[in-house]
Amino acid sequence: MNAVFYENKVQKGTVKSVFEHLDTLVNAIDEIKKAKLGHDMIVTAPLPRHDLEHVIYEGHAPSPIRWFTLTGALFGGIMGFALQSITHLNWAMVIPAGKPLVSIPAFLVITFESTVLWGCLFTLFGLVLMCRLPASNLQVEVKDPRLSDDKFGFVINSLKSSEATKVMEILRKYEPLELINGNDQERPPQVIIPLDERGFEPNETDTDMLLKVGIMTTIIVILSIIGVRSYFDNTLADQLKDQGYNYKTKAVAPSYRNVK
Amino acid sequence: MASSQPRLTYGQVTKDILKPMFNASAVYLALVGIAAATMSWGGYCWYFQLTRGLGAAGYQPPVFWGVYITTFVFWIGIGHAGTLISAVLFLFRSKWRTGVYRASEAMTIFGVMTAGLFPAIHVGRAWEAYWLFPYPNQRQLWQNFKSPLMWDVFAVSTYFSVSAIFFYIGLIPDIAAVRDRTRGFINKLYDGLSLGWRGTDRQWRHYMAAYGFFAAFATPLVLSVHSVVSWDFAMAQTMGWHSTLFPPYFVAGAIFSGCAMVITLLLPLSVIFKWDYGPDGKRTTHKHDTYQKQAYIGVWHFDSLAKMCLLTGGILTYAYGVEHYIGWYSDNVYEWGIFEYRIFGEYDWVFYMMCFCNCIAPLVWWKRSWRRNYGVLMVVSILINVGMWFERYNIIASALAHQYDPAAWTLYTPNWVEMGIMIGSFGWFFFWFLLFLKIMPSIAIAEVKELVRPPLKSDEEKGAAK
Repeated sequence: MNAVFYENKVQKGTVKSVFEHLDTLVNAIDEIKKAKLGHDMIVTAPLPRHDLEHVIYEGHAPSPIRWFTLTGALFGGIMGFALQSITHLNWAMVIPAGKPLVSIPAFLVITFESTVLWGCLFTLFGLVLMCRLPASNLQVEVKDPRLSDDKFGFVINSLKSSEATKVMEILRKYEPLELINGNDQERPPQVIIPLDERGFEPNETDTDMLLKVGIMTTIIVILSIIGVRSYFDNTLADQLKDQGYNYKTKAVAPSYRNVK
Repeated sequence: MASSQPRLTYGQVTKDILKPMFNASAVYLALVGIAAATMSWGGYCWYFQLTRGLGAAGYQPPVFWGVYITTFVFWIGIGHAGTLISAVLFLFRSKWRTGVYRASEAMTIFGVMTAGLFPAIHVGRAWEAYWLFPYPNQRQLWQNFKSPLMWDVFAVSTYFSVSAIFFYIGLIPDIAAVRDRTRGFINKLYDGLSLGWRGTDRQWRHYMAAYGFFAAFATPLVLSVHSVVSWDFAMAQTMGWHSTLFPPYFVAGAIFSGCAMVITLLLPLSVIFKWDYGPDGKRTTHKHDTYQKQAYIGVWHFDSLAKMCLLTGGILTYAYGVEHYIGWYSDNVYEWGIFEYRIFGEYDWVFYMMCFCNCIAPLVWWKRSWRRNYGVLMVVSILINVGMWFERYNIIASALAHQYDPAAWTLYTPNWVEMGIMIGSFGWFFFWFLLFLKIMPSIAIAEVKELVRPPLKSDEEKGAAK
């Protein structure tokens, strides 16, 4: 069948809800937070939304990524300038006509490039660290294929039985598409996400695409080389031989075109 | 847009953008085949040069920078528009970037990858190309960091690294969307590539902060890389090169050629994949563009790109005028000599080709309907690409062939090895671009969703009340 199958498992102590509408989700998060039940929650969305970030992280300091960026940029700038200065001082033979060995205008370019490069690399490191990537060990409830498409997920963890009941009551008011209490779930239902007529699901022939492209490319490259070589041997080489020059035994220098 | 008009939904966006992936038609395979054949021809030419020595290239002393450096600068220039569109327009919150930025970034990556081959080809002994980079060695040999060529090594490698990071980071949420619509081996492959991305609040929060910083870093690079490339020339005491005009002139030229290449690449894609259709199922041509801003890549985007070309093309035309005027006004016989030579000498056809393609042809885009006509867009964008290659050839070849000493004047013409490698570079570029189209989403899914009105219960209730 042309579909993706997803086992909608929810652990004990966890409530999972799937929302179709953004505004109801925002209101639900707000109420859960006000009820002090959202101390361990995860909201997933197929796109970044400021309204979600605002309701979840209200009162929080901005993302600490900026400190990684600043550190990286400073490190890169200092390192770039130091690399150039130390190497020029270390090998003082490069003395361009009495000009200073450590030349600030000339070194600014690489200092700038190094600042940008290391700033970027540190930001990348910060992103990986803060997002805890690779995120293969994320809880099973958020690994729902619908949540990268058009649905929003709201998962609340570490709930006692009474808290879970209360959370269920609150969320039910906002009419989520799906609401599961892990404490009640005995057998996880299977969610079938059908893909449309062509769908996106690559069919058998499509998945061979890379193989086809690879084989075809290899054949074309080999044939082209054989073809070009034989063309060269039969025509260009003959022309060179006519000029008294054997390209196979002698390197071409300075320009084979001028060899007479 | 009024609520009664059809709207894109998040689900529709995912479906539409992922649809062309993996599906290899006969035409696609034929195009890959042509690209591979062209690439292998270039590869053979390089092999020929590697085995016979650099003499196999058609260098005519004192012209030791020819087609390779011309093509290097051309591809670096092509690589400019991607980062301009993805980073600079991101910071300006320009909405038309959303549809086109992913493919433009891919163009940047493959353009810089192509450009990166040319210094290695040009130096002859490609296996020693790592000498360009500073590394500790027993002889304590270090590069001369005061050389613009060394600056260029750093500028291009930094540009490539930052662009590649920016490109990959932008792809992560979309790769996750591909993963969630696949099964088996492909699913595992894309799960690995997406780094297990699930779009949690924590992930999005840090992601958006980091993305802004990447954009902020990439923005000055757009200006710096081609400035540094221009210093390869402007720092030399060569007439026709030694000018402070070069950095802005080169940057404008790079953006000009890059935007033209984006049009050349995306226009056919938009037609083939029907990305220029609005949610009402109508193509957003200049005749009926009611939903133009809802189409993924449509006339709105091409119109904006054409305007960008008009601006940068205008700067370029001004720069051509200024450098010739200053050459004449300087009253320096050598300076004016080279500009006179370009106009009236053996390379005059290159000069006129450059002027026609870069200064005159884009003028048709001042007319609105021609900025929105696919035929005109395609023809003019190709002319600009041709013209920009000739511009670099005009700068490099004519200046070196006609320096101070008349006894050393020569006429450089590229030979089949150089032209083969140059043509092969197009095969190499298109080969990677074509593969990209089928294995990665060519439009940013998550960002297009940001343009779409989110699904709201309040909207539904209003609709029901009506």
